Amino acid sequence: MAAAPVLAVRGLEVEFSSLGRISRAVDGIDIDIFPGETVGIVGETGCGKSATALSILRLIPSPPGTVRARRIEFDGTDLQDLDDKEIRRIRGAGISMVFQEPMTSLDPSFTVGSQIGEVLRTHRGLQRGELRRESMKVLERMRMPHPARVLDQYPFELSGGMRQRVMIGTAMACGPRLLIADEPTTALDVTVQAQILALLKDVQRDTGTSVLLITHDLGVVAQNCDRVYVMYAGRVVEAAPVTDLFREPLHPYTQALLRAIPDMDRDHDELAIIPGDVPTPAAFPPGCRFNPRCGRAFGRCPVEVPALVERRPGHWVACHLYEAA
Amino acid sequence: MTETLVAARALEKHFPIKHGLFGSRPLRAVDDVSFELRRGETLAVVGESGCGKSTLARLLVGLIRPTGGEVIFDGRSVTWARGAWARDMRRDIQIVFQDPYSSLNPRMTVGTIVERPLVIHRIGDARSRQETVSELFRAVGLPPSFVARYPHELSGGQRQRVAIARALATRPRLIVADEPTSGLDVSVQAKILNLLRDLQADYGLTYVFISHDMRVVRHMADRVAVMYLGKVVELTTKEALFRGPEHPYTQALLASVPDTDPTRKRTRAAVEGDPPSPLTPPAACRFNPRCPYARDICRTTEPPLLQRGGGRWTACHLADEIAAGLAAPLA
Repeated sequence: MAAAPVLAVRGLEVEFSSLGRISRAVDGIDIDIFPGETVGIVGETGCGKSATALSILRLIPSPPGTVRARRIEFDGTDLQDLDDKEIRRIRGAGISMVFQEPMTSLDPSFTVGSQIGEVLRTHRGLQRGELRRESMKVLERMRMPHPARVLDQYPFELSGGMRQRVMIGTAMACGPRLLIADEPTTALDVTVQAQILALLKDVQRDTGTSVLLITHDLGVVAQNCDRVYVMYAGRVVEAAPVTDLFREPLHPYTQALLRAIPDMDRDHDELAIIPGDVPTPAAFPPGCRFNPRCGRAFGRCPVEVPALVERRPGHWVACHLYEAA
Repeated sequence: MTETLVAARALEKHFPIKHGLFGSRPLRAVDDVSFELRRGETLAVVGESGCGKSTLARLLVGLIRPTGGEVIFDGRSVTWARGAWARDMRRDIQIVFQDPYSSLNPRMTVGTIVERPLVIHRIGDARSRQETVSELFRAVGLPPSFVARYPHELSGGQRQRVAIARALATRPRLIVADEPTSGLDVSVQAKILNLLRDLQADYGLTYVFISHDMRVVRHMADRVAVMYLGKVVELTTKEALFRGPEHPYTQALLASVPDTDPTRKRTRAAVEGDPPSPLTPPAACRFNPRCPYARDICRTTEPPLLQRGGGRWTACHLADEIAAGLAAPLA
């Protein structure tokens, strides 16, 4: 891609200390997001995908967390060089974020209208008289039914899907260049999830905003992302355009993960399984972290960390199987 | 011995909900639900939040009492069971809950947790119970050395194995599994689903499998009941349901599952709107405000669950037209 990335992360590390022990939840990952792209980070519990998302906007509480990176470059500026006041200006106006549970990200004691209004006042400097009209527009863009009534309602009066529409609308209200969505539909019913994902697509098409979508659901990735990073135990093990990843997954972990999903079109006698459990950061194995669970592991795997190499144009994999060839 | 092991007969659970100062209105969590379940069969009950599937699970095992209708197990009423009869029922019917964090007592070792049903039902002596517990641990794929551990020392998947071992302890004939793999990672889910299918074959179990996940339902079910706001809207074999769903809600559910093939991209949601609150269900057909096919009759008359041949039941005024491809979505 010729254009400069909106976000370029290099060598990101996130550590958490607990009772004097330090565990590295994210261990040296690189991420690029280009203008207008939807990029997925997919992986199972504890793979570091949420820590990655939170670290970009400096949302990891410290202590116990520590974030280090060679670069976290947004629009040409390294976010690590900004002070707290400057990072607050980036949040919302430059990069905004949507979380899994819209109930806890909305303040229960203020109406929807006043919460959207606050964002518009802070980041767009709107005056009192304009707030209601602009807040209405925010909800209308989210195809919210009865937007005028919703403005005067409190979050508890809304369904999960409507709350998530409010969150996405608010996040998009200031025209950010990047929207980070951390499991935005995980708490929603499947018919509502489909609506919210379709809405995200429309919003993105209309605004050209880049989206970083954090999810555990490979179906959501397949339907919504242009490119995807697969994380396992704090590292990126594979990165590819979605069509390539689903047509020909290279990493044994990605292959196993795809096989473990029950199919909608055919019956299985038995679902393919991955032996063992996902390791905790305190017990990450040496070498390739997937090696104790990998059916194709050999001599080098428990010893040497495999580098992420580009096997095909745009398709990267960190696995010794492909280095040898 | 009859073929049918479990039957729900016009099962109804209405919860009184306080409304205003003196009033109360019923929440119809489960409303006139009937089905029969053969020995060794798996019936999946699928639906979204508020559809009543978890209330149905609790009714089936007798954890709560219905406000109408009854549950029949092996020819006898679960609902009206008393004394020794009730004790037998509780041995024969077990439940596995969604969240193994909250369904396992954190102060007990997992060995004690699995032994408890044996103690309560006075099965075996202390020594034979230890052996049984070891066997159960092996059966669910846990090392018997785990008996001395506490729930917090185990992973989510291991905890769900403990919950399954506990459910198996009394050698039940029916297990009701209420979302047993929601909240688990897909690789862990695969192992638990495989285990449940293996146990069903080994022990000749009958399952009622409650889920919101169509992929899981497809893998586990022989027959499927689709629920919407307390009602069964479609009940049929798995093959028929996945080949050609009849009820517009079933169609929407299936079409909403994100396809793992990125070349088959969907651009529009199958239905609009959220499921309404079960406190204020729409009149007549409860799906009508979200249904792309809805006509006047759908807003005035509640469609009965009608047998449509091939063991298929559908509650939709337009089922014939939709099946024949004659009805067009109005939206």
